Amino acid sequence: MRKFPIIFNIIIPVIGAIGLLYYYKGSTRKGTDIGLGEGTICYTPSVDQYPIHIMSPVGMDSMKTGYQHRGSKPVILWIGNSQLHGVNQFQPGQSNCVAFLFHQLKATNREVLGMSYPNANLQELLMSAVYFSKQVPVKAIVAPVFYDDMRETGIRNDLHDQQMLNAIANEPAYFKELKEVNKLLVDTNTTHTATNDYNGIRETLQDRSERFLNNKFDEHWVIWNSRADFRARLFNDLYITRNMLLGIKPNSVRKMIPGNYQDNYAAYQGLLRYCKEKGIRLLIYIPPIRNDVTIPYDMKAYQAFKDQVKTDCNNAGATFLNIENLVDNKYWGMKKSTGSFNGKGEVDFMHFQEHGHQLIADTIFKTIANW
Amino acid sequence: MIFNSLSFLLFLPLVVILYWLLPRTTRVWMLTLMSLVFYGFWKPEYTLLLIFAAVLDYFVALEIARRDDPRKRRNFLIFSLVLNLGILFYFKYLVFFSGNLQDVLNAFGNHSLIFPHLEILLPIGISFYTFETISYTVDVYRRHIEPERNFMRYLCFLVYFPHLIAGPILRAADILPQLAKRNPFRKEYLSEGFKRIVYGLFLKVVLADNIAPMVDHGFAMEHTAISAIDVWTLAFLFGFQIYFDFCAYSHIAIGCAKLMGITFFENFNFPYLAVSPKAFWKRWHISLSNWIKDYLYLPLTGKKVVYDQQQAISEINNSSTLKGYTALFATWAIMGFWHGANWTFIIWGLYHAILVTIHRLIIPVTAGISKRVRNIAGWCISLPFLMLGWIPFRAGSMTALTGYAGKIIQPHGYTWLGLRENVYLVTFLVLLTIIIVYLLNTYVKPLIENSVFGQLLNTLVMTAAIALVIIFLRPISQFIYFQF
Repeated sequence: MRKFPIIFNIIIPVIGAIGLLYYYKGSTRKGTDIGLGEGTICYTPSVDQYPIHIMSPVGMDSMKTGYQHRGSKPVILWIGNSQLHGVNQFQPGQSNCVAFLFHQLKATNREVLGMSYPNANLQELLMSAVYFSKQVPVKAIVAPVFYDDMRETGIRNDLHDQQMLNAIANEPAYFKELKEVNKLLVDTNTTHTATNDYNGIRETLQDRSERFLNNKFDEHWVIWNSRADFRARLFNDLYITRNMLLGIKPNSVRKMIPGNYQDNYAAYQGLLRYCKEKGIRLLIYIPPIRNDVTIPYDMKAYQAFKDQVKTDCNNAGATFLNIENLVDNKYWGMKKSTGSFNGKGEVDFMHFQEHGHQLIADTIFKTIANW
Repeated sequence: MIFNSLSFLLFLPLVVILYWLLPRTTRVWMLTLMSLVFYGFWKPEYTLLLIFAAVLDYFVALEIARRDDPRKRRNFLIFSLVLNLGILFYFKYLVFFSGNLQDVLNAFGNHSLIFPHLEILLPIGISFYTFETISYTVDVYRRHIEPERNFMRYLCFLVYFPHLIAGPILRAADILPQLAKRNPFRKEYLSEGFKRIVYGLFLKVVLADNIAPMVDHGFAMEHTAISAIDVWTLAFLFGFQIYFDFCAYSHIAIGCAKLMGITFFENFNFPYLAVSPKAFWKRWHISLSNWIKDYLYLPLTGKKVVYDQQQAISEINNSSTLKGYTALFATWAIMGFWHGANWTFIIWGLYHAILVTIHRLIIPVTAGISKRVRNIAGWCISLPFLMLGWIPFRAGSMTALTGYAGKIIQPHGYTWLGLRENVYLVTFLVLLTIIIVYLLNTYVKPLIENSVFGQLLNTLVMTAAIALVIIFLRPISQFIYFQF
């Protein structure tokens, strides 16, 4: 073997690696679905082929075109996390809450548009609200406040969109306490930072060559085009391994992270202030959660959180709804085990079936019908 | 051009093929041209600065070598140093000095003199190539080497793309002869070079780039939201990130050069397994440590420098005189300042000077203890303090630094946690992995590397590493050391 170093050190490993990736490609789901757990599908509805619910600013142009085609009615923006776009036990022809509300509002002079991200934190939701209201005339905003997402932080790469950054840069008052958002704004104006795929080469000649080559590879090599899905699968497998080794279960109590909570709560207050000062009506709701099993929260802290959210919401003149018990147990579902690779399914606390989406849309509609 | 990009992965084979196909006389021209293209992918206009540095020291070195009068030789050397360091000062330090001067003037109530706000873009790699060109001129001055008479070869040495942006900091005596002679092609060059490149890309795109978001988030948090344990954790985690990032660059640089049959000295050797602060600096950024020792520390101590090109690291006699300690602290302050124009970097340097001093003072006390116990205890004590040194390096401002320093001395800061659970887990697992890899590399690898099993294992590891590199390869960030 030492006589053939090129064969054993270069040719076989390269062919082997590519073969390995093709082998795993067949069993790899889309990255957006992996995060939802098996049994739940990511669904974002369209009307006349134009999206009315997007998961990234990339879809905004197409969404706006459709919106203009339909007559540019005042918009009710529904923002949220994967509960908005995740449909458990999805069957072809089914829909999600944004689509249900859209159809319910057809008879009125308003329409709903949705924007959601998996594990969206409130900082991202505030950014989205500000961005959206610069794109279309937003009359009202509907936003869930998830206790679980108060642990989340960081601004995902998708939101490093220049138009989004410009929008929030024009409204600094609502972001002044959000260090990560401010850092992102500063980073955008410097060369030595790294936030999205091409940041390492921003403002260089290489930026162009790299984008060109990546596009060509994406077009002509399915493996290259699926790299985000591979990464999602790899991280998901690491997550399962961690849970397996440390005995973490879906109902293991999740510790609140003080810094993240603080930032997200500041973003929540920013959203309340923004809507109040811009004359946008706001509906805040405590989202549905399964109530037939032990939920993974410190119940005392969860109750304090809900009380605080309600108080601040009322003080800001926004509407508050607690719909945590809205969706009956039978409309929730199971997902593939997150504690082992071939274990039996486990309860999904976050995503319900289509009927749950219908219920939540009905409830929201009743509240905003006269807005 | 950055290594972790598709552009580079297409550029490199082209250069290597041309290198081996072209006749020897044109290889240097081709390498020089391609290296300038490599650099020009960042900002084409800054290649002129690079060429200027080469022209300057090429002629200065010839003049120094031509003359016998020590005064004239010294004048030429000073001329070169002033110009090189002047350019470095302008691009890297002028903003810092003008800002500090403004603060001092304001503090003394002088508000009439206001310096203009400067925005100077730092030419990438300037600290590295300035050190290389200075060392060449100084070596000629010291008569350690003869000046290079072929300008293209000298230019090629300076701009040679594998080391151009973030080292290793090469010496003319090591590289110029390799550029001058014709190495016959050997297939081992390709396999060894390829292996190092894959290994480096793995460290960068799989490890460093995935640790980076955790580090960035941790350092972006308010001081009030993190605990003392979090500060230590972030220090370790950033220590791992910068190690993987910088070590990756060195691996790729060494691998690229190896593809062309050119050998660079190693720049890292499991630094976090060092048993003392002094040992750490013999394992971390070795080429910089050597440079600093030969061109700064030893001259400051008044010791005669004997440059031995075969010896990667020569021993320095510990100097316990006042002059010795002054030289030590001055050297470290400058070393810190070399890394960045900020007080935090100077503090980082001085912190290491203190660690080295403490180590020097402890050595005599521990002389009676068995070597094994001393090494284990030395590692256990040194590692946390070495890691803590990354806090000023990463802090970004004195305000942030004092915030972190305040945290770690508060007893109640050790009673709670403020980061996500995964951060602690990843930190622990990375440390454990480094130790395991070190043990495997030291004790198992020599036993199996020549066996069929060892070869097969190597092929399997390479296969997995290449698959992961394909999945994660994105020019998501520059290498951290680009900014220095």
